[in-house]
Amino acid sequence: MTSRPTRPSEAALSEAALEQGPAPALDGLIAEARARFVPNERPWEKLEALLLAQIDANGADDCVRDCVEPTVAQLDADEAGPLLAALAADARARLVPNDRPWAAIEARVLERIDDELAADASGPELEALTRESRAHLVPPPSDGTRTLARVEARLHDAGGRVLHLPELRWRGALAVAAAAAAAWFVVTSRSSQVSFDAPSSVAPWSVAPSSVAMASAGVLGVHQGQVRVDGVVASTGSSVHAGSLVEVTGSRAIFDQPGRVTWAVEDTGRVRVSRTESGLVLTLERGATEAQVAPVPNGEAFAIDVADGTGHVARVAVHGTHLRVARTGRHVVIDLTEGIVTVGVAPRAGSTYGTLVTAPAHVELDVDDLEHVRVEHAPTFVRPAALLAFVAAEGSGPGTPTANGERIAGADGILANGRATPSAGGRTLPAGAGVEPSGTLIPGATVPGAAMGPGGTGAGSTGPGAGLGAEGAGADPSAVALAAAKDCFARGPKAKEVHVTVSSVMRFKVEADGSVRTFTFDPPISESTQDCVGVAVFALSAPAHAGELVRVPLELSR
Amino acid sequence: MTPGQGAPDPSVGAVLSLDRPGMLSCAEQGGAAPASKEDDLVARAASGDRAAFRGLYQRHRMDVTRLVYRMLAGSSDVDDVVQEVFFQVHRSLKDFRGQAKFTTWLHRVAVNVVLMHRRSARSRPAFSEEAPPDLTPDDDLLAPDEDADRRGRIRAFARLLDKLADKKRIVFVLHDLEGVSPQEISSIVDAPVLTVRTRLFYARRELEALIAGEPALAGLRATFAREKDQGGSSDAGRGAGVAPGADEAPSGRAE
Repeated sequence: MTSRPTRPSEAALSEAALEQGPAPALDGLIAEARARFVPNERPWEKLEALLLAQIDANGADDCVRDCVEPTVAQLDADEAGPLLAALAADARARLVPNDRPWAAIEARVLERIDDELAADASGPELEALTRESRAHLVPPPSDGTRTLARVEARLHDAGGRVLHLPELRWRGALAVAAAAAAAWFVVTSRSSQVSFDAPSSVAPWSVAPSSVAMASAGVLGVHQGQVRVDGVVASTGSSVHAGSLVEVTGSRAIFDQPGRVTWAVEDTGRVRVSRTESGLVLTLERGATEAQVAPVPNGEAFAIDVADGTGHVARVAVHGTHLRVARTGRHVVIDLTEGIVTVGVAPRAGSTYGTLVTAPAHVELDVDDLEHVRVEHAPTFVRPAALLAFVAAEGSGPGTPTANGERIAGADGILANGRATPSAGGRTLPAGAGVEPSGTLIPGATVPGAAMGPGGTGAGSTGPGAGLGAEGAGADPSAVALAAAKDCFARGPKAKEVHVTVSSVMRFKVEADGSVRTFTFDPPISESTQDCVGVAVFALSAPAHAGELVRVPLELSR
Repeated sequence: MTPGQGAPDPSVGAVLSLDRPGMLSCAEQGGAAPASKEDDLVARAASGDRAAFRGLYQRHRMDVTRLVYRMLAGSSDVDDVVQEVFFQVHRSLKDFRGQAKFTTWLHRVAVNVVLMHRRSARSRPAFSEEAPPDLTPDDDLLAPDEDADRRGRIRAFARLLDKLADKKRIVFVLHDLEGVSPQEISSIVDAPVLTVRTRLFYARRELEALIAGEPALAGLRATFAREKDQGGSSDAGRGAGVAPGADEAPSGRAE
């Protein structure tokens, strides 16, 4: 701030002056504003115009503090306008708390502005057009039925359960009837939509009423802690769908949508599945979620929405990459370790437009201010990626029912841990860097604090990833290795009518620091399976088993 | 109120009184004061009551549609945006704590959805010019040529509104077209009252400048000059009705 000249006399702005009416007080304010903010003659109208332009861009509160001083430096002399004085009064209230009766002064100024607005030279043309528009700039008449139908259709697609019939007092025998009526409504309302909407906009509703089953957003893998889906504790193998609310406590939960997305909800996180068709969309309500996404030829494979409850919805849309999105209230932090995302306003349909961000990147924004997205590409700012090692329930495999008895549409098997295929984003360790994977979400495993991604510095335990997965002290290396081997083998090539069984023994040693450096299969199994298992096993950290020689007999089949 | 008077309001829900089986109480027939009925609808809609949400929708859809229509200057996206508004209302109802009037909160959601829509639209490639707003059929018994003139003026004014910056347009629409007070606008747009007044002041000034340069409105000055010479009203065209909420008295209709 520049130094300010001495103020005019206190008397000019005393209560007595206020009693004389707004004009002397306002004149005094103008004089004081000139003295305080602008030591020389300035073009006040131009200042007002510039300030208003900046208010439009930045909002008045910040602008009065941040715009007045720099703007003043560009001006020529002119007469101050009353609104500038009002702005100055507002600024003064924020910048210079003192004993002036600013509230009273501001009230007088507001009265003056009211008078000016009322007597404003709104020319007769504007006045007439305004009056005419009040009567005739109105939408065509409509009973709103179609719009309501669309709203209810979207709400149903988002979860169906958000709409239900009013509760009746006599639950007993009526409960069954009410439930049946609700189901009837859901089924018939979907088919009835076709009569309202144009065909191109009702693709979701062209599904026959009998095919109400919703596409799965993913299957829950092996986990610790508690995972609730729609308030009910979920077990490994449970499937989530559009509208499902996932809440995680005590650990991290990983879901897998085979061939598309592996996504995790971190401890204390709450995520709602908003959409499963034309790309999976999650709404992050609390905490953080991380995802590994397979690229798609066009459109968006995956997106995370963050809403603030007043209509602002920010979206991070993914075309195939690895990212983590966390929120604290309206503040959103994105760590992008691979690929490209778009951050912008969540569209009602179609692709997201906004800020394109390429990895590596650390992004911060506020949900209600998407015009100011802050991006930092230096790898040291980027939180390392966690290895989303999805571990399926034992016994599950290609085409087998989940714990809920559902078959996952399009699934050709549950992903094993260590999904490091190029289509998933091509996670590779920098050659010669000795950098280990930044972490694993296999139950019980801790996460070394190594930085990850191109240019990763391997910062070790002081990196952003340090301390993740502190629940890993009790990891059982043999259980982890067994689960990894089964799942990796199950993903291998299958021949029709041929059942393959392999017997082998896996051996490795847990080092003093709890890590695993080498392992063997005797007899050897396929290289792809060994590589797949290796990703998970090398990511282990089991200090409680330091020094142990682990032997895991394997009977693998597919 | 006599039980059974009038048809039951479906938006209230089918809760039967234990005192009078088979009959709806006066309150349930819609006899409750408007504010408490709305509070009841909001509370029930927030808990997932479909009928209550429909009731809220029916109560407010016309106001919301008109507001969105005016903020989008008659764009053809109005239906989609109104749909989005009520979708967001449903999703966010649980966040409405009742500190402000429901209509204020509803207007705030509408304004934010419109702003998001416009930002999103600006990012998208535009391949064709927007069709002119679909204006309501005139029922003021104007001659066809006068009706055409009025429609032309309204369309032109809508185009000028569209040229204003979002923040100025919103306060102008809310204050001068919708009749919302500056204090309520301040809550809706989350800005100090002073800022609202300032934006309104400059919105009017900018519109006047735009009017002066709009060819479709070139005849307006001539119309005023002619009517002034003839000692007529200062309205643009005859029979300019005044929508509810405006301060001016309705102008007379020419015979």
